Amino acid sequence: MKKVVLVLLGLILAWTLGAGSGLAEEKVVTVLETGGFTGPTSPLVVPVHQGSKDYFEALNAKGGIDGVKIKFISSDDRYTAARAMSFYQRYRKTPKLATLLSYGTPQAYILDPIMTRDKIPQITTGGGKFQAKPGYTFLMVCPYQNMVGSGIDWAIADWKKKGKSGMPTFAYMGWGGASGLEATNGSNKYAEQKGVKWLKPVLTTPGTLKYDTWLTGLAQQGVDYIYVHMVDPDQTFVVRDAYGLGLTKKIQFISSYYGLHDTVGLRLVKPEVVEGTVVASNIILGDERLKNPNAELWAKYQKKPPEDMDDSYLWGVGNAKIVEQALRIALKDVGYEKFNGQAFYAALQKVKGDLTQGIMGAQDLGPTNRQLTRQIRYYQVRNGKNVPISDWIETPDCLSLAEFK
Amino acid sequence: MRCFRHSVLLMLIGLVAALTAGPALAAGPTLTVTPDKTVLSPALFKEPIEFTSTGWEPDEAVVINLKLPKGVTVKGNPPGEDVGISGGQSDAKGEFKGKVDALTLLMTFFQAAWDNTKMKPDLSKATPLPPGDYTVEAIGFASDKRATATLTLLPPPKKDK
Repeated sequence: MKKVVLVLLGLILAWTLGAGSGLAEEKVVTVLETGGFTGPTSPLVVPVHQGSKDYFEALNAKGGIDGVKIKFISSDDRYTAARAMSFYQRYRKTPKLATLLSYGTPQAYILDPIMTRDKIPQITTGGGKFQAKPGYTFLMVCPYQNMVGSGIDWAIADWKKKGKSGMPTFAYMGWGGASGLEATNGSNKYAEQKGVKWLKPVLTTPGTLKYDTWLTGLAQQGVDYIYVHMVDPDQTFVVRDAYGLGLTKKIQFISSYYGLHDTVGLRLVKPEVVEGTVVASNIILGDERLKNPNAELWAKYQKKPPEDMDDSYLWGVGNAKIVEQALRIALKDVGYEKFNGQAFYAALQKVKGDLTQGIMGAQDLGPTNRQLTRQIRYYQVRNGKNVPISDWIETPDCLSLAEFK
Repeated sequence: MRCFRHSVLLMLIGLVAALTAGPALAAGPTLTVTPDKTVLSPALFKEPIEFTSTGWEPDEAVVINLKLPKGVTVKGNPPGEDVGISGGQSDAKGEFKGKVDALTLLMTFFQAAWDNTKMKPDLSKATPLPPGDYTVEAIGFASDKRATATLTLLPPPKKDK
């Protein structure tokens, strides 16, 4: 009899602690993140991750979004697509899963069909395919080919400003693989349309030690502008080697996003080595980043001097702010109980305005626009620092010239 | 009456046969690792470990995980969690072929460290996976089906004195 009573008591206890008890359960939505915290992209991914993590922590400390907290789960995929796939497989059925932030083109490619089927949006870096064929993958930055196209436009304007006739000779140098293929897919034809002589792209591997052979080869072909698309400090090393060969006197180097960063490449070489290098950036650099109001998060959570704040830290904050806005819209539209990836997907397409307080260009997402921003800004390295030389500029459309399978 | 009993008996025999044959008829996916026994060496960059897997849905995303034995850790991977070593999509026939690519070999099998100042692998701090039997598991995203195989990492050959 005693046993029966104990069993009954246990059942009653379990029921009162169960879903029907009326006791308050914490409301949580989940945001996943995968990227190379170690490996070739780590100088970029680690500070981006820190920025997003700190922002979500600050947001949760203030009560979240109308009482809904954000659970941020990250994974080091070491820049390997298989690990990103494995991570997503493990968490894809998490209740209230909003999105996954992925830092890497190979990862994005492999996850896109899977997450599309799951109706969970992915937010990734610059694979143009995802803007050319809008679906469940959104881009944190302008597509790489549009970025290079913008560099072509900059080179033409600079060429004319210098009083030169005709059109310049332009070369692309970057990591091979999906990222490199995207960057040159469409920008090559854009150069051709503009009458710019486009040399055969030089594709390297991450961690290449010296670039002399390639640089000499390009110089012998009469190149005027070299566009370098890698992750810092690789592009800093390209310019370093060019300086050593005396090539920076006659070739203008343009770095893509991800370099030359104030706390990465620019700390590894003497100022004169990289003087005059132009940097196309998706985020604010140099002293501008230190003056941004969100820089206070670095001091509060990372507890390091402000000048040590990597440029990519604010990128992480900016991404988190955009995710926050989409969550607000989704929770308002459908409520917490009905919230899911599909609701977040619909909400992302309504995000408009300057959500990042100037960290990156303005947002204008919609049914045909998957880019969190369509704008970049130009800097030039002067006395070892990134100095702005333009406002936010919309990138040209090279995607319409690209070929996607 | 006898005919009725025989009919019922035959029906029962048929039902039992169908139930026991069911699993055999609906066989799960298969997974083959080639080579299934290997020394962890640079030769694997030129001739990578390959996976062949059948029995998936057409165009199904398949991930191949390495299940880590107790006590074995992999850089960047939370303890106790499987680590992805290959993946992709099956073809129209539900067959998948994949391999351990160079970056995975370097970063997961050899577990190279990374020198951020030089932007290159730091093999002096590499901690390769130890020799032993490793279960390799393929998981289909659409079907949730799984298939396993064993990959044996052999000890390096002893150097002649």
